Amino acid sequence: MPSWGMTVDTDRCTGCEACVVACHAENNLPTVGPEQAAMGRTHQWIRVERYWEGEFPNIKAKFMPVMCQQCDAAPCEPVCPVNATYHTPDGLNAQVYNRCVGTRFCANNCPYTVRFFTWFTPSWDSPMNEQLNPDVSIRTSGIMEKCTFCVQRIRRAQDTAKDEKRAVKDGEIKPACAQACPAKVIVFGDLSDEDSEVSKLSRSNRGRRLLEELGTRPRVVYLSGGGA
Amino acid sequence: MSQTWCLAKFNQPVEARAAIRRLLQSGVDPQSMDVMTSQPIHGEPFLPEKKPTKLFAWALSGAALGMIGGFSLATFSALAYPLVKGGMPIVAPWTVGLITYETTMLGAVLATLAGLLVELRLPSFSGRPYDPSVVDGGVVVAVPYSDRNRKAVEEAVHAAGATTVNWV
Amino acid sequence: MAAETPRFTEARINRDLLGPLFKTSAIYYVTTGFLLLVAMVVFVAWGLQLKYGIGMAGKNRPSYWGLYITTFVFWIGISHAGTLISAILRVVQAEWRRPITRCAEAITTFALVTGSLFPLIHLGRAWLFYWMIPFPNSRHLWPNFQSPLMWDFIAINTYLTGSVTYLYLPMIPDMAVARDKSTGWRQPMYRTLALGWRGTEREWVRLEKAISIMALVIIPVAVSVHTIVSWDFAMTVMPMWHSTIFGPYFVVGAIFSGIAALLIAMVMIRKYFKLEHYLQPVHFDNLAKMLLTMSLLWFYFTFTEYLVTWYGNEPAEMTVFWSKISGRYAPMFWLMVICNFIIPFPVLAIKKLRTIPLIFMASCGILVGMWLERFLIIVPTLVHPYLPYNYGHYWPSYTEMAIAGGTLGFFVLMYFLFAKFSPMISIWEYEEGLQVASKHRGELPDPTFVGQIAPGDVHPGH
Repeated sequence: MPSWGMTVDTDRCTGCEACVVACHAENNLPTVGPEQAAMGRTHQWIRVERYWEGEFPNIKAKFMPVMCQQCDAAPCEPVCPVNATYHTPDGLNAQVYNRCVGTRFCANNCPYTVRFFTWFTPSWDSPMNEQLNPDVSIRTSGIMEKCTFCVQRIRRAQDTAKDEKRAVKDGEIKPACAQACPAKVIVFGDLSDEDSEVSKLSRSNRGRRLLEELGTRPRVVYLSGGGA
Repeated sequence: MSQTWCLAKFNQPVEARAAIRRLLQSGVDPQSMDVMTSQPIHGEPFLPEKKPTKLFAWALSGAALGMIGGFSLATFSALAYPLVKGGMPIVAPWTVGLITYETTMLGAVLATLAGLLVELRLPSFSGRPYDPSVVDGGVVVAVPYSDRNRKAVEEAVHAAGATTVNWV
Repeated sequence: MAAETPRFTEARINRDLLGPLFKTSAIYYVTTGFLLLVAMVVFVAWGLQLKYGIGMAGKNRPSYWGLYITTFVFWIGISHAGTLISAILRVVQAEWRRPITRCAEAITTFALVTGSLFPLIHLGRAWLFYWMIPFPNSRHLWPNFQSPLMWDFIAINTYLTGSVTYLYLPMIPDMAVARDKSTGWRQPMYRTLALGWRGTEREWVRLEKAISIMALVIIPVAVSVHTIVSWDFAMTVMPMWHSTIFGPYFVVGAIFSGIAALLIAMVMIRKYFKLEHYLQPVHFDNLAKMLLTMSLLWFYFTFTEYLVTWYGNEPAEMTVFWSKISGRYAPMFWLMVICNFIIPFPVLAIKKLRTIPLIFMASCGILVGMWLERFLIIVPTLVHPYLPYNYGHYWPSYTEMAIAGGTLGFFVLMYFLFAKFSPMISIWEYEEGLQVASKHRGELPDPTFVGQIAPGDVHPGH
């Protein structure tokens, strides 16, 4: 059984937000318009958080892409009354759209604030409706959604590998964000394979996990410092 | 042929008690009589209890049923479709305990209500002797009578000071 | 206490307490019509929200909850007025409880009905609410009993069942009185609800037993309900929600707001139904002392909660802390402290000030303060999540305000209708109280009163 994980090298991140755009295209994320966006109702399964370090003029912008951390002890999972979110055996924090009744408890209990709610039935102006990804369902109004590690790509690669009677190769699966990143910030792969790139990177002493003091056991490792 | 009743109304409990004493002496079965008031009367009971109430036992059995029900529901529903959530065990004793507690209480509530209705054989909308004037105070003693003992009943209730006597 | 009560016969008590059922003033019709309109607003607004989506409410990321959950907790808190207080007073056999229990228990029932609307209203897909009901279904999926929302669901249903039963049991003999005194279309209704009650000795013994069992069961249920409501917050990992004292803190707050609501209702009932003989200053005085105790307890818990946070000085918690003490939410916070402690403490503690009008005003303030308390627990935490990049803001939309505000009308409407349907003071319990009082005084009340017990009749145990 694979165990999916990700590393994010914040030292490499330029804050270009290509990952954000790629995620919108891949996962059929609705764009809500300026008014709703101002209310805080955007859908950004991945976002680039910008923090300033130091005081002007010796100031430095730090960028940190944040997506669902797919925690092994995810606080969002047990609070759902209808089992709409649970942990898959390969370590994904699954969100089952058609089970969700919209209590939004999961989002309240997510310390990373990476769950997104569909407040209104989404729509895409023509010709944007022509670019929707057929592999990803469109979410209706009133349900919760979040980063899936591009589960549609994971499952497709697994199916292809199965058809060709081989194992999934390291690097074969690339989530949209990792694929779009020009600076190679994001690396995705199987943590149970000790030789995979993500495995090696996650063991690096540059690694730390976001808010790991809360005991959520996140599956995303952030790399920074150490002169890389 | 349905039972015929004498409904004798008294102003004071002490008069009703006197009537009951006379009626018992004249051979009326204490189990067959009813004493009605607009409020519970504190003091000695008018009539010996037929069977002591088992409401507490009802409540306890309901609680036990609720406990078993809640425990089973929380346990077996989790096992029926096991999903790992937040790294917690499929059946977590803490949460099962919580659900069990609530259903235990629910069982006790429902069983108490059911026990009350069963013991009193309520709801019942006909056939029982009743004098609606009792809600304005007084004590009504309902005595079953037949042609054979009508006279004895009449004497007993009048001697004790009944204000009104209805024969139904 | 009963010592000052004029001696009433059963016939007079029946007339006084059943009076409001059969005589309806023009003011009542006007008020009810207005309340009906207000209640309609709730359902129109909810209808629009169902049609267009939950986005009609002003919630956003990160403030996924807001006015709905605040008002939900508020109403569940109000519901602790009745059943819990009435049960405690029954268990300790406080005689002064007698004219209070019915109006208190009715508050519980209707506050629970009102409160439990909100978990439905706030759902993204409200039409699928039945997925939380545990029943074998075609999806082969049971609800998740590890979720505090499921605990809520089970606990509130238990409490509602218990409260309705506990309200109904002492009502049965009163329904029988109404049956025997009413005519026309009401009579079959009361006949059905009285279940064929006759008031026999067997019936009284069992009814009193059932009520005492219910009182014992309902106290721990009531405590558990508000504890579980608090666990909706305390079970999370969020700053200033993840607190072990939330259970008792919420229970105290619930009883606090509950007594305030009860006092307001009692003042209204006393005035509108002219029941000054039944609801005497002593009843307000005793409840006001309980209210004072709860105010002190509330202050104690609030102080503890904030002291521990401040001393712990944990950054994520301190952000929420300062937003309440001196930041954006400070006006609300200090208004809450004024309403819940600074005003009620002197008003309720100083005997001269503890008059019915002042108690009434203090109680109204406490309801405002306790609503603010729930808002201040929910929103500041939500808009200040761990990662500062996600700080947000929340302001309720008109839809939300209409629904949350309108439920006040909905609740009062139900309470109004109930007052036309059932005596607001339990007739038989009040009569029983006169009987007990006359026995304690060792004197005989009005001769037509059945409670007059000959010396030989008095059981030494009583």
